[in-house]
Amino acid sequence: MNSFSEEELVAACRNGDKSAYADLVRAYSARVFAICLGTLVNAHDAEDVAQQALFKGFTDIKKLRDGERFGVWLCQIARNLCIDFVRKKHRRRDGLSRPIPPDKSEGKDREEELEAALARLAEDYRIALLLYYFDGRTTRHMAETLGISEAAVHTRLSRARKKLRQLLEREGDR
Amino acid sequence: MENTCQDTQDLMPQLIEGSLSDKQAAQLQGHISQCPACCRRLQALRSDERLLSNFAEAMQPTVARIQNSVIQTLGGERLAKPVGYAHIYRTIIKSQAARFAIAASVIFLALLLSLLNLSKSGNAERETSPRYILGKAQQDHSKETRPWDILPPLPN
Repeated sequence: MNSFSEEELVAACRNGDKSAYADLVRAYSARVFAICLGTLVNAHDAEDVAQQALFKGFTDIKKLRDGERFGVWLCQIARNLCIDFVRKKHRRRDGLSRPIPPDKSEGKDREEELEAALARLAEDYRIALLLYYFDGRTTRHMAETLGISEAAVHTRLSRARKKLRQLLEREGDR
Repeated sequence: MENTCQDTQDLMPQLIEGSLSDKQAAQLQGHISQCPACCRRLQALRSDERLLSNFAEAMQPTVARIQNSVIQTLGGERLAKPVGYAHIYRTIIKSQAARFAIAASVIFLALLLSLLNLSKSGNAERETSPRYILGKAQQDHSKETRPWDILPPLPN
C-alpha cells in the first residue's frame, strides 16, 4: 500500500477514485479470500465470491461510516455473500440428487490430506487458520476481523492446530 | 514448575507461533528434550505448520488473479501508478492550502478574463464612433504615397 492511510483511501473511493480502491483491493484480497475459502471450502467458489465481495465493497463504499473499519466491513460483506452462496447452493441441490464426492482415500499426498482435514475442521477453526497463514500471520488483524480479543485468537489458533493434527492423523491412517 | 506431557502439548502451538515468554519456552524445551513423545508431537506440529504455509503459498496465484480481475474490471489499473492525476487529486483533497490556492487562482483568472473582456468591448465601441473613423481617414490620407516620393533624387 502507498503512503495514504486507509481512511484517506476510503475517502478517495467515495469520490469515485478507482486507483485508491485498487490499493485497498491489494491490501485486503488475501484476507477476503481466506474468509471465503474458510466458509465455502471449495477454492473456485471462494474465488468467485471473493471477487463479488470486492466489487460490492466499491459499489457500497458510501454506506461505510467509519473509514478506519473498512477491512472489518469488507470481511463482513464477504461472510454475508458466502452465506447467501451456501443457501442458494443448498436450494439448487434440494431438487437434484446430491453429487457423490470423489473418493480420495487411495494415493493421497500430504496436500490432499491437508485439504481433506481442513474440510472436516469446524468453520471457525478453519477460518482462523486460513486467515493466519494467508494474511501475514498477524493476530491483531485477525482479532479485528473476527471481532474477538487477541488472546481469544491465540486460543482459537491453538485449538485449531490441535484439531487439525488429530484430523491429519486420521486422514493418514485411511 | 514441572511440565507434564499434557501441559507441554497444550502450549506447543504457542511455542510454534512464538507467543510464549522466554521462560515458558525454555521450560517447554527442557521437557521436550527429555520426552520422545512430546518431541515427536512437536515435530508433527512443525510439519503441519510447513504444510499450511505451503498451502497458503500455493493459493497466492489465486489471490493475485482475484486482485487483477477486480482492478481491471473497475478500470483502476491505468490510474494505479502512485504519480498521476489520481495522486494529484488525492493530494488536493488532503491539503487545505492547496484547495485555497486553487480557489484563489480560479477567482483571479475569472477577474482577469472579465477585465480583458471589458477593455476589448471599450476598444470596439471607440472604433465604431464617427469621430474615430473621420480621424483615421485623415491620417491615412496624409500618409498617402506621392509619385515624387518614390523617384530617385535629382543630381545636383
